[in-house]
Amino acid sequence: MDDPSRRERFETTILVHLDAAHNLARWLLRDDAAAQDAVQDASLRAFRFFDGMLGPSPKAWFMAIVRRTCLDGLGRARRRGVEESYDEEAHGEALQDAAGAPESPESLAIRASDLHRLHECLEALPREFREVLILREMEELSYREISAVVGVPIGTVMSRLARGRERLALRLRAPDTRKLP
Amino acid sequence: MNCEHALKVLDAYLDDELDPATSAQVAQHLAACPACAARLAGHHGLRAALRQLPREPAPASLRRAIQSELTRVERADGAKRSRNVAWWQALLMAGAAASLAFVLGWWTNAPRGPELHEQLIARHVASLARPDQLVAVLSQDRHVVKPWFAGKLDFAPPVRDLGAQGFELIGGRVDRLGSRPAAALVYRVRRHVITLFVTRAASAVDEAPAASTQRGFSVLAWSAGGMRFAAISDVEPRDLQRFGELVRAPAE
Repeated sequence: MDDPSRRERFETTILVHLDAAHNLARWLLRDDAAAQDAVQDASLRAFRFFDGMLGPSPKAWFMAIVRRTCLDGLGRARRRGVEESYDEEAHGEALQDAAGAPESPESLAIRASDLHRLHECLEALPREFREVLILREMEELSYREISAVVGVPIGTVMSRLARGRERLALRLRAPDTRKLP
Repeated sequence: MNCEHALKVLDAYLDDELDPATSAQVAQHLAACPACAARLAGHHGLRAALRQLPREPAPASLRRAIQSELTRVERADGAKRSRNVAWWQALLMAGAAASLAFVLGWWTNAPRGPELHEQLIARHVASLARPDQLVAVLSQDRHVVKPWFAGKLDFAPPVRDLGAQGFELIGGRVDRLGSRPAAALVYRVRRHVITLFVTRAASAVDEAPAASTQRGFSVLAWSAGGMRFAAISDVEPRDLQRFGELVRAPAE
């Protein structure tokens, strides 16, 4: 039989982050069943490679595996011809211009209190911004941890967070996200 | 510090990722610049809202599935390390199961229709609920699995190696369908388990495959060579159809 303490260590260092893992997968894949499949796959992968755990924290290490598993799944889905998401990169210019407009934090606060709408706006953000916002604001990971999860330098984490917040704020201020250019 | 510089590091300031000296400079600038302070307030509002979003916690069913998979992996690894011990344990377990099946077993007509479905679902689900009893002989090698049934059943179930086609052989066990002793061959496709039950057929007449679904389970049943086959799984019916074709394909 396997050393029972290995399983225990896995449960106390990795599986304690299962909610975080599921939350990330849910936001990346936007599909319940796919998210659960990915988290189960990722947990087994993590268990297999547990002895070679690296990085700033166990949570970041696990989240990196979950993210990779999700993206692999998305890649497969895309090859089958399923659209991943509406990509607003093409409309970047318009967003940049509008982002320069004067802020009105009050109206933002009022609209942001509508959580359903916030959910929609966050879900509509391109993945690269969505994922850093989830990791930072919901999972409260440090820049160093996010950098390890996403596999980009810390400077890129910072600029993606800044642009992600800008875009999200812009979407929230728009009268209706679907009417955004 | 001017506005341009302050805006560049405003997010890092919000996230508490600046060194103390730069952080102090930003704070100083914010105290003097209402525009930048308003921008930071907007960021704070957004953060507060984001933190109110309900997290999507892992459902209990997912936790259970992971736990049983971990147990399965642990056991599989353990079995690899001490094959001899596992082999003897498997023999004893299967021996007990087989004698029980024979002591209790008497021939009835082969179950059909809803009755068969209920028995298939019951046995399939019961085996999944106890990962340690999913298979009594754990091997991906049909030359290990097939001889293992010798002396346990009065028929010799065909065991196919379908790993190249995506259906990985996990192993087998002696089970029962109603009162009939059955060979249960366990395959895995992606993460779904397929159980192929094989019993002695009531008649020698071959029957073409019949597919059905019941409460989310796909079932495919046919008769061939005096044996009755019934495959059950939670995969899509077309996956099971493909599995059935491969099992029925003539051996190379």
